[in-house]
Amino acid sequence: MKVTFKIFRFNPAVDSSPRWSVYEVEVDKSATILDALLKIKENIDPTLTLRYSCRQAVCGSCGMVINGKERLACFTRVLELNSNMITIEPLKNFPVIKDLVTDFTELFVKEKTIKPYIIRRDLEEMMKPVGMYLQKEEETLSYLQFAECIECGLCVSACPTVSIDRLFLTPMVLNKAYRFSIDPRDEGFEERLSIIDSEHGCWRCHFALACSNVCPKGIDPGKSIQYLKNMITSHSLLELFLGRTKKKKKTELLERPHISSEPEI
Amino acid sequence: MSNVGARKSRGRVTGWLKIRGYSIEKVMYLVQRISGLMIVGFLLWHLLDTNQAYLLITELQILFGVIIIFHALNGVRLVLAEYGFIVGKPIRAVYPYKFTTLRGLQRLSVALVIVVFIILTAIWILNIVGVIG
Repeated sequence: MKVTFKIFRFNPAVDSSPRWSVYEVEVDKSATILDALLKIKENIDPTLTLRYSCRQAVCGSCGMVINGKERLACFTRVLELNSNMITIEPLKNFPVIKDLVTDFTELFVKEKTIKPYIIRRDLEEMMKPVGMYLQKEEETLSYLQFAECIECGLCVSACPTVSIDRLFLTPMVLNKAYRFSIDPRDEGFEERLSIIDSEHGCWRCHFALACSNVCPKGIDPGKSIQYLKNMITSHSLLELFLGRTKKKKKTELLERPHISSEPEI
Repeated sequence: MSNVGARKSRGRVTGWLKIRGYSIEKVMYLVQRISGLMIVGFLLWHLLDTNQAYLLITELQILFGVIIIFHALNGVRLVLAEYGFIVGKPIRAVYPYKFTTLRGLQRLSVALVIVVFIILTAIWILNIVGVIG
């Protein structure tokens, strides 16, 4: 089947404004958009630039706007779009480095600010472990869905708030903040609070659900952000009226005598 | 830095207007934003000119009534959703993926808002035109 591809082209070293290139490619039934793009790169135009790696929706490198909607090129079949004309653009809300390649630096800087790792206060136990933190299934389920993020940036491109507020933390980062804050092993919610409860934090999410619409891994950032708001509200209310913060249900420490308290070096 | 010379592609307000390919919640978001801006505009106008008896021009009255009905109803839905009451519980992300925010109680609330909006709008318009009330 012959399909026409209209692809966004921009090389900052040469072009002053973006242009469109049109290619006609013969594709078979199972071809993905990434296959077609690589076919163009190999056979028609070697200057076409794109980023990809795993080809199986695991690495999150090949996010692009395909026929007006954010999708992973490797996770979208050409025929499922049901169109003879396929328009491909780089992700919105990101600076374009070249053609379909966008710059994620800003996003990863934002991600760093919310401390995307488990924070614990029991230094003694961290340095000299005496047991293990065995999670129950319901404890794991509280964050498991949100931990699957591959950081492909599709939700950032789709989010209508990111497009008007460049400092907004973005759905990806807020999802990450919730994923670590709700984790029963984590004790760093208060440390993250000043960032996520700020002017550009989770309160700028207005529940358009564009992020959940485009998420290729079933993470539902629209859900985790609302739970994050709930978490912040109950935390603030408790602090305001009772002067204390909610005690988080912590994962039990199961002592294991066979774990040596003195790490062998 | 690597992005020297890179082209910024921030969509600005066009990010609001992109609704093709997205679900109905994005449309609700757009209408909520526009109706909110119109209500603010009306308030400013009202502050400048408090004697608005001429607002009894029926068309304007109907328009603002409809806008306020939608904004209020959808606002109640958003308050419920944004505190996590109707977005569903966390589930396992197993293919084929299910999005609890795009189905179930949340989707039902969208339908409910639209139905109640249509009923209240009908009552409001019929009331103004003088058929009932």
